[in-house]
Amino acid sequence: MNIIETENLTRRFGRNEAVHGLNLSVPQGSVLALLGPNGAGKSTTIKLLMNLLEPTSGTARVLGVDSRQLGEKEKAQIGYVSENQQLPLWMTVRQFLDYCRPFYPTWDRALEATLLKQFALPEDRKLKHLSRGMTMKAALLSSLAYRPNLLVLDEPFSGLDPLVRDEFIRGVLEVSALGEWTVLVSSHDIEEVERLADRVAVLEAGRLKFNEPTDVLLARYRRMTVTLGESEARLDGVPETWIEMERAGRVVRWVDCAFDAAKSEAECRARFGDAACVAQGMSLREIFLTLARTSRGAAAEVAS
Amino acid sequence: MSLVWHIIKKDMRRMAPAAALWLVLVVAGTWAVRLTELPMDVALGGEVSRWLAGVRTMSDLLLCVEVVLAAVLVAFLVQEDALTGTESYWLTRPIGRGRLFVAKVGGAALLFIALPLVALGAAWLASGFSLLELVWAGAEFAGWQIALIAVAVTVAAITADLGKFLFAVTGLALAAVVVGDYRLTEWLVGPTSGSLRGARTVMVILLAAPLLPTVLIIQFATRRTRLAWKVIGVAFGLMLLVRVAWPVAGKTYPQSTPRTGPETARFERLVIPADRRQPPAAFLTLEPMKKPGEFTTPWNGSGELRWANGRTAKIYFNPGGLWGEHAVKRLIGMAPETGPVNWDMAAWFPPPAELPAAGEAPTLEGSVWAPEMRAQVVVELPWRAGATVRVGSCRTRVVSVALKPNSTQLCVVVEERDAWLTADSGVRFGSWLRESDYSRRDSFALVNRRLGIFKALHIVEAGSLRRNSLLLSERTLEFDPPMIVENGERVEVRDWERDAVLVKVRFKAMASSWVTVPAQPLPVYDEEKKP
Repeated sequence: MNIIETENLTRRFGRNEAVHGLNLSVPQGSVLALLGPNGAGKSTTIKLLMNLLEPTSGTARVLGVDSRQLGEKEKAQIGYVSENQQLPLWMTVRQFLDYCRPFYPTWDRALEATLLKQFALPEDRKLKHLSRGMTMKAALLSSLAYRPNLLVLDEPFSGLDPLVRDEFIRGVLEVSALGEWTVLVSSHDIEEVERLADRVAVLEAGRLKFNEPTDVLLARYRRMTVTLGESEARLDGVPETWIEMERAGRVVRWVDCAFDAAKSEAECRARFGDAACVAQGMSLREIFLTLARTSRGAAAEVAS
Repeated sequence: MSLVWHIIKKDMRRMAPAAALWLVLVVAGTWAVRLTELPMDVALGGEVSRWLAGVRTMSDLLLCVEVVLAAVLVAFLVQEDALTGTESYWLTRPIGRGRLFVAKVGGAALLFIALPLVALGAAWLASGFSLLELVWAGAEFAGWQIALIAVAVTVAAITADLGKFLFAVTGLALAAVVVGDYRLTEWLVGPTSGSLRGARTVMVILLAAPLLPTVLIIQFATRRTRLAWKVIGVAFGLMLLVRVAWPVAGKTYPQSTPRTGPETARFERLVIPADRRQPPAAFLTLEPMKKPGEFTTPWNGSGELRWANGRTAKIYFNPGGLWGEHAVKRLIGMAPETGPVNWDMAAWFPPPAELPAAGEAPTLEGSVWAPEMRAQVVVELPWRAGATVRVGSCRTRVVSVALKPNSTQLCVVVEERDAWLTADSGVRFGSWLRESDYSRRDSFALVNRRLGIFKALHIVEAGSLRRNSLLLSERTLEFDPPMIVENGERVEVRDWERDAVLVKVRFKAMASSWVTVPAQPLPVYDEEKKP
């Protein structure tokens, strides 16, 4: 069952199309990292899902309900943390939690106490007097304490120092381990969500590039290196799945984004003969950067 | 409901300091009117009016601050959980827009209507308001506050912050003036008939009435801020269009037919005063109405003077300084109960007309607007400074009685504290001190029944201070002391002040009509040359 499903979801701001025909699904219990460079449409997508914005066309269903019809019942099952969210900064942490609690029938006071301790939040301090990291942790606490079925994190790590970021991620991981939660986290930096995500979706210029499980993605991408012997290599007409092709002296490098051990080996032999061919695994960050560079290059080509 | 109250409590905690400040201003301003007393040492020669005008200026400034502060606080209350934008945290919480609307309106009503009403109720009770007066005063205060809250909630709901709210309120107020005041549009497109103007005003009101609820529904139900602004723009555009181009005139109501007959209205004489700066006094007689205490009272009128040589002049009338003297005298039983009643009217001639000369008797013909009024003795006060009488919520005090500087005239300053209610029904139920208001008018007289003295007192100064249904008013009265002729000389009546009382009579309009002044000679006298 998909907790989030979109169908041709589109949002325009004047002539600018922030999200274009998005078809995205997030299975229940998964942790999906929605990645993309700044301006890719991640936040707009999340705002459409949360009914903060209305789609220009297409539909989005969240928890089985049209996003435009999200009511109190559904929102009581959704946790939302965003870097841009305006919290009632005049409240103390305690007042903020006390204010939020009655709206959620499933609020777990024991979990609230545990998280309060884990995040080391000063209860009597006003939110406006907290550091940015502390404020985000307070927001996260207020979105976790009722054990939401869906947790949506929109760029939650921006501006957080590594230590706070780590605490934040640990908090989400620990709590998500307590139940069948679905998490949607957007970020422009894969490193931030690498530990969290079991699925990755990449948005670019409002379009979905792919949406697949992390392990499949990691298995699919390889950095290939061939050290050529005496014979010349054929570098023309390479498969489309070989990207970022480059040659430095006798060394040829590229990224294979449809790596299959036997098939890739055979293609290498066909082109480079008996030259030494090495396939190196890539991190999510490397894959993401490769994709970003490739897309930028393609966009520049189209523009020229 | 408990969640609505939960939101209200949160907002009240947030607003508490600022709302408390506003409440203090409202209550302090009202209690100031309740407790202020006219100082006795400045009570001569118009000084008291100037003093009161100064206090009123401060009071009015305070009122402006109160209104602006209330509007800003209501906006702050609404924008605490902003409806515009996508970043308010409540948007992603299980808080329905309907629930939020009820909480915001409820919070505003609690802070800006219920709490001040409790505080003001104490001031009203202390002022002796009757239950009916309390209800009316409360309703009037609540009515104004509801209007203010409705506008502030609506504009705050479609603006992102206080700066934009103030900007929008200013802009909408200007737009409202443009479409509301026919003079501006008629200045642009030329004058129109009264009936067409009335029809256009009705159409503007019909367009304006549903605007606030429509915008509120759009914003709270859909959060489509741009759509809300478009609706406002279209509505004001239509109102402007209606104001300048609505073609269908409304129904014209015929002016009431003047009553005719020589016995109905007659100007007895025109007196040129010794002080040439004062307007000539015209003395008009009108038949009283059938019931005791009810009079046909002239208010203002106009006519034309015609001389035998063909010269003509327009003449206008307003109530004179001793207006009501004869009626009051009759009311308290010191004049015969039958026959016409004399009324003192001030006459004026539009420039460049010349004043008629003493001894002339040009023919006057015209009409007078004459409300039918019921008169009632409101209070009788002992003739001494400091004398105070309280009847219900109305407390009257003689502030001072003194000889006017450099004059033989006496000067009396009377202070009144009263309920000031727009919706009143009785003669004494609320004071209203607009001198141009025909619906009520007060007359004062010095009466000494033991000596048979009756002297109408000339109101030379009047001022008032009003706040939240409380009125503090001041009237300065002047008169010549009672004189008799002894041994061929005019001397002051001895001991006239003993047992004398100050009588206040209020006239209240019941209906109005025009009275014809048929062609009649108007003898002109000169006060200086009077024997």
